[in-house]
Amino acid sequence: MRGNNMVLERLRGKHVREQAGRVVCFVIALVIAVVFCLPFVYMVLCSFQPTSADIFQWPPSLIPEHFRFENYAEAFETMHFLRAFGNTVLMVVSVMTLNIVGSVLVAYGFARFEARLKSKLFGLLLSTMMLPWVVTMIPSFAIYRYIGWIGTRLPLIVPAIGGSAFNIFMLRQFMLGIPKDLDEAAIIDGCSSFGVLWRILLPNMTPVLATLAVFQFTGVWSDYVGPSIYLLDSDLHTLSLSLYNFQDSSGVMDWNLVMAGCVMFSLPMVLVLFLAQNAFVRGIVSSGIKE
Amino acid sequence: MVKKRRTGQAIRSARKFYLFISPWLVVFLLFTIIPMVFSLVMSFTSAKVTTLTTRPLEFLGIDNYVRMFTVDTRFLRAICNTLIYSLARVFFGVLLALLFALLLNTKIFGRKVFRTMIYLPAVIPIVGSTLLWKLMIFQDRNIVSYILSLLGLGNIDFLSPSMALGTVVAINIWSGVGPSMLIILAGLQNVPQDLIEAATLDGAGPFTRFRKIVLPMLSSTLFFVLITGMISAFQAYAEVELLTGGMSETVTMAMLVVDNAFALDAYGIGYASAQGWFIYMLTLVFTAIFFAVSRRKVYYAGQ
Repeated sequence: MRGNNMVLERLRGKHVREQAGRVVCFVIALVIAVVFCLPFVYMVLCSFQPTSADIFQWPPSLIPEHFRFENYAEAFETMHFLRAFGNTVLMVVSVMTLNIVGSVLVAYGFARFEARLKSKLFGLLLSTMMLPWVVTMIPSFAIYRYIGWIGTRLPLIVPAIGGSAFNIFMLRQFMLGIPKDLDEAAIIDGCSSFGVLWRILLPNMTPVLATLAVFQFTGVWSDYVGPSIYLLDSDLHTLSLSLYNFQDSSGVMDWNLVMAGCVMFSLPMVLVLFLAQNAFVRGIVSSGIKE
Repeated sequence: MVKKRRTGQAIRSARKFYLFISPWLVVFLLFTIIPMVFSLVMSFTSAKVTTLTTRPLEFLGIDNYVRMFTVDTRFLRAICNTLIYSLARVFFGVLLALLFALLLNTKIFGRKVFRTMIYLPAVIPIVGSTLLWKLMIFQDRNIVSYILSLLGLGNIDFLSPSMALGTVVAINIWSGVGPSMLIILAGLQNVPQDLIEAATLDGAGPFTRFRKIVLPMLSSTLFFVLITGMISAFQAYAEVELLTGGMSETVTMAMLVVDNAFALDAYGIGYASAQGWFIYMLTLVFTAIFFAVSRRKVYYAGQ
């Protein structure tokens, strides 16, 4: 009896210790998560401050005395939001569509067909991930200037049809996981190679396609370098550029308006993160897959 | 007869292979291979944007490559900065990501929400997050120095020569730790639970279990995160340029390439191309070293 009690006692002790450990982990995780989000919360709070000076009070008052919603209307005006938003959406839709169509086609080639140079070409494709963009930037710029594309969106859109190494790699991995028997059955039924891709593979690939679309969306939406090199005309400016110029043009910054601009620019991404959490996690998870 | 049919099939398969990969092949040739050849040729010349079409190129041999390491002290500075930035960002970034992943791999309440919250900085567009940090630490009477003064740490100038690079590293860890954390978290979930239980029964404590089981099983994931982080850190441009552009304390190699290529009074595109190729070579060397080390230290399941 005594022995039994002692075992129970020890088990209870272990249980209590485990619970305590879990509470400590929870508190630490909570603190870290809050610290990581605070800057964004601060951005939102500042965007409602009545004046820029209210942000720099000492000691600071985090919550605005009254929430000034007009900041958003003014920032909307100053950064030509509607035009920049339209330009950004145009870029996102065209680059995303072209890139994913191109990546799917190329991945299909690598996943389902044989050629002598296949493995070498695939190695070449993957090795482009190591190539710094600054190496090809200068001659590419010269080429685009030669064919008269500087100052248009074409240099940012047209090359997307070639897909990107990362997307092609992920799609190929996914296709390799789909049994080939399905293709063969479809071919016997008279399906063309393209038909196999369209009717057999693609319907099975919605999760990975959603993930890539989400990544592509956030990447193009946030891109600064590409537009800053090629979109010289302010009529073509994307949100990145118009927000950046917004802070440049006024010598004294209206930080409350700038932050309102930042919120309008970031909010779609934050919403996408929370609404498409699964796509994000899955994509990140599979990007860690190696052969 | 049979053999002939097979080769016919092989040819058809090869034809389809090239047909389907043609979008990539064409773009790759036009916008990667041709620019690479151009850039390599130009890196041995005195090419400048302003005189590219009016004056014939002067062949300089390896002068551009020599100048990088001798006359151009600014580039030497940039090499140091970039190496420090890359090593610090990758090392501390992956370390934090690993710690966060271990923390969120325990069965605690709300771990999915925490995961998303830590990921949040990664989706704030670079221009937005840069402006936010400029407000939070670069202005007079900013919020961060107020918080530090509450903690009794006094006034810290985050842009002072000794602090600037560290500031840039810290901000980029803030925005980059989420994705690495998710990858490591996925790797942790692949560690077989029965191995850990068996070790626990054999009396292994949490640290021994981590060192002997989790870390080896995780090594391929960590390797992936380290190497992709390193490659992107070597090319650091926008995340530094937008934050502290123009400061020699934080100037990176890629920033100087862009400067030299497009600024009118700079050395020119020939020299910028040479610098670009140096970044490429450095990336290749580091990747080769990583792979050499990984062959001994990294465990891949199924080997």
